[in-house]
Amino acid sequence: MLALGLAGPASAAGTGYIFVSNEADHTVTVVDGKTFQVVKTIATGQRPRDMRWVEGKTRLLVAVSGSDRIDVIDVSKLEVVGAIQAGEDPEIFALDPSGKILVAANEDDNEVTVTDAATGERIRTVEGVGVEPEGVTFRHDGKVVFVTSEATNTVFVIDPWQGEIITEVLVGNRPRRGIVTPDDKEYWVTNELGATITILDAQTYELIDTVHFEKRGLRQEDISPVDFAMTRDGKTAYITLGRANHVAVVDVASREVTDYILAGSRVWGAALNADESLLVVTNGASDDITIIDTAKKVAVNSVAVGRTPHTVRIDD
Amino acid sequence: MFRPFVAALLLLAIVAAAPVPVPAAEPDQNELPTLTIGYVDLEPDVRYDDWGLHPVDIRSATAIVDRHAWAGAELGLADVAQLSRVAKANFALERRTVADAAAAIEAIKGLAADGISLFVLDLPDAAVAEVAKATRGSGVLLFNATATGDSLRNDDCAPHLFHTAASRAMLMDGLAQFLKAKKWTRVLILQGPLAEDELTASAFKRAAKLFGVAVTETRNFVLGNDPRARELNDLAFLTGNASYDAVMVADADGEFALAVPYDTLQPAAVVGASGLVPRVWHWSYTRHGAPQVHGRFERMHGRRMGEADWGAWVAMKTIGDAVVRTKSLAAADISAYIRGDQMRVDGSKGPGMSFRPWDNQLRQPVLLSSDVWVVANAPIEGFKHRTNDLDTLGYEERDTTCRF
Repeated sequence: MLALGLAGPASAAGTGYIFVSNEADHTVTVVDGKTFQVVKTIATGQRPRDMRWVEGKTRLLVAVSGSDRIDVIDVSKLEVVGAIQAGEDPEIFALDPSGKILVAANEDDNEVTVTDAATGERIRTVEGVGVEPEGVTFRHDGKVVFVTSEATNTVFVIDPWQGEIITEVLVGNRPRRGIVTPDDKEYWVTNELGATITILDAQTYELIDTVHFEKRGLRQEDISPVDFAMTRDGKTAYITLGRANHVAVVDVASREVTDYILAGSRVWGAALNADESLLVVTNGASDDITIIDTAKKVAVNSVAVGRTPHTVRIDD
Repeated sequence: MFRPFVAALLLLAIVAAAPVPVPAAEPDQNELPTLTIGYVDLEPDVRYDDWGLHPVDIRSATAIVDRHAWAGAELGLADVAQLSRVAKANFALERRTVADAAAAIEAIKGLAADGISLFVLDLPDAAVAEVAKATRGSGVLLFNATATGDSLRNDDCAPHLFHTAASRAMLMDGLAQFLKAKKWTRVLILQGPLAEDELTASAFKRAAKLFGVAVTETRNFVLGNDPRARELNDLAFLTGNASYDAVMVADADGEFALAVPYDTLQPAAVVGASGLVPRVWHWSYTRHGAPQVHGRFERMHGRRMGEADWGAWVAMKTIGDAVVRTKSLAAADISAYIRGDQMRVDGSKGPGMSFRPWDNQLRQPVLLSSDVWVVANAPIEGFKHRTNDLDTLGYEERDTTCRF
């Protein structure tokens, strides 16, 4: 078991590398963020999916669902140096803002596992969180975590410190991932079937609004929103639209869709670089990533990675 | 819908299984109403007893003995039980296994008298048609989970009869799209002696015409080794002296079809009852959340999930979603929601699925699969419909003879 310290501030000088988990290859591809050349392919456990930074981006956690654990990648060595527990088949996970606990969705067991980030040991399991729990998102105050349940069309609001389900809220069809606005006022969740985002009040859990995606030339059935990236000022959200092969740009304040940017096939994971000039998205059905210039709102490069790229994280 | 137990039911049903209640996650579950869903199937049912069995499996100790859709309904119940908190209701299933359509009608009427208004049917075409006719206007909703007959979506349709099973036309349309996309457009049909084989061959001919595939010849086959009937039972004769890129086997029984791949006289793809088979579900599908569904099913039942299971599972999910969205347990509200624009059910095949208002058929992709892999997912890329590409599969509004 590997000891993890507190999640400190991001290190001043990152490697500039882009990390991509390849679900079907059991690897993480490391891409240079300047030259867009592949630097290294890191072997991980089976079926690597969600990834999160810890310890000031010196380590990257990778949920390896098929191996029932979370692998720890040392960013300076570019290799797996340890593992922590996260229940069976962890898919998406999140750390609380203080870095003390890690909450992972265990898709097959319909539960979430709370792990002590310092010791890597399981603290508790919260059962009965719908069918196929997926997205795990902490409110920035760290008090509650939102967990989407794909097959029950609901979001569970959970107190991970007590292991209690506070409430369950009906949202759109097949909710996937969530994001909380920086002011902790709104929780946004993508609904993969139905081409919408549901917005809940992050404090009262009441439904505030629904954002609909529609674009000429795109079939409504193909618009399948999955992942988010949001600027630090909370003004702009980027949402990957799955089979529609586009990324939507949404003005957070007005909730208007301002642009649709063409990406690869079944565009899925998303992350912004540090200065938010580039958005990197994974394309699950074309085994590559697309680099998008956020000022020009256009794809500027694409890089072949491994099979079924799932999540992307950038160290810069 | 609290339901007193009626002893008379035992007389009506040949086999009466106990209800299977699943507790809700909330501690106050006992105060929630329970929505009991009726489930009716046949024993014996030729589709499970004789058809599709490998000759080795008939004697094998390791063969799957029970392929009825009930296993899928049980998974569906476990999944919808998780909706209890937001549905503010518990869910239960009540199974009746009967001998024939008349007994199925009696069973449904008996359960309806107890307040059950939603029924999942695992019945063959003719029985579904009879049940729908006998229960029309009685306030019950029927979900046909396994019958593929096109007549059920046309002349025998009914406003209270919904189909989660794909129709023969949908399956054959998916196949024809695939052949067209591959440019394997000269097709020899080998047709078996059953009435179902005639229906399958007809559905394929309709699809071929629609998508630009040529049926070069249709030949009848019989299962057997009689040398005097070799034109009917020997593949060298059946597939000789003809030109084709693919051989379509219409064989509901399935045993003859097993022998066709790799044994055609010319190199050709075998499709239909063996080789590349159009299916509503296959255990090898790895996308759209299907592995999670396979996993839950296999942990529950210790076998792979089949097409019948999928049909019953999606019927249960449709009911569960309707209850959650309408906040009602009334059949009329559930029916209105299911037939409405907003309805989308997730069958882990990709797009959100809805019911066609003109025949109550669930729109859905068709998986074109070998024994071990989903080769393609129809509608095939390039086959576009003006509103919903899923409507390139099956009878369109302008083609249906269904009049509710």
